[in-house]
Amino acid sequence: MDNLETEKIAQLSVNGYISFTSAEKIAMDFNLSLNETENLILSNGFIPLKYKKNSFTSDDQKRLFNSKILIAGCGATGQALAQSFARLGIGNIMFFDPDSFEDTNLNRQIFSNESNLSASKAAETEKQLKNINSSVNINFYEKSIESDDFFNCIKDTDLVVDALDNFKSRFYLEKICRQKDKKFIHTAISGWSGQAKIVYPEEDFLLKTFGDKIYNSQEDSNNLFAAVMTLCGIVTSLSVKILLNKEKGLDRNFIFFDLEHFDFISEQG
Amino acid sequence: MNITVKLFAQFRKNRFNIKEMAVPEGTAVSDILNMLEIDYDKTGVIFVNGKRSGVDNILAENDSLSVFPKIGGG
Repeated sequence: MDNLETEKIAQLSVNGYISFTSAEKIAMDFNLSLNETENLILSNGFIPLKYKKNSFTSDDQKRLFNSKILIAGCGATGQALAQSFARLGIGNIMFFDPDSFEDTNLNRQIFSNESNLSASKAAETEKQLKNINSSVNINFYEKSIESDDFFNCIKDTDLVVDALDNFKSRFYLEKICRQKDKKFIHTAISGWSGQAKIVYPEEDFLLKTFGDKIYNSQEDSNNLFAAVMTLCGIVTSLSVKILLNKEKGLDRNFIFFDLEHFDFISEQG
Repeated sequence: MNITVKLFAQFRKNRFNIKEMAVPEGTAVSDILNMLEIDYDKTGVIFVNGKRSGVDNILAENDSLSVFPKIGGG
């Protein structure tokens, strides 16, 4: 560690925190990217002020910053999670989606608005995440998960999230995760309901539960913003637990909620 | 024998949330679904006494069956 840089960080810190303006100054003075600067701040036991209300220890915050998350699908669930992960300070976020925004997305997709209809979901998500937290490394792909890029990306990720909208892709994701010995978080929404489960490589949860049924190409197009937000909260919590190795006790649970009837179910299964 | 059936989300419409049912010995999960006119293709996770179950599972006295719909949006 360069002493000059460490000294500067200590000098600019207030009660252990470094403001965004100070981080920009450090980056400028030492010719570092904001990503490198943030890593340096966290490595020295300081916390960027923007993460103060996350209330993680600097070790945990650093661990999150050094984590890599791959989001399969960048629709309502994928966008909400991408934002949640960026605000948490998860330092490497990748996502795949070949689709563009359309009118029917406006009710629930947080990065859709009346000015970007027909724009690429993946590209818009990247643009808006950069405005939220420019220290995060973002890799986005305007393509489906059935591409070589996805296959290559999955290798060195800490966590994969299924934010897909159809079962054909989900079965593919489960197969690839099994091949690569990766666990992933399955998510789905419909109307006021949603579900989530950590799926382990040997489980074949999706295939066993849904494999013999008939499917539409896209399932359940009636989805509400409120259900997306609830699901985002649940999956964010699961993700943090996994990345910080604190998921014990929850690891086999199937989580289901229905906001219409106020059901919140978590069964070990 | 008596069993308890819990239905979730849209399966409740025109049916019930929770119901005690008297059914013959040897009744399978699939028989209950047929009885309630629940389309198997629309079912997702099924639990019997909090453990994941297939539709061929034969139910026993005092079993609790929970049927969740298949949901797949993203």
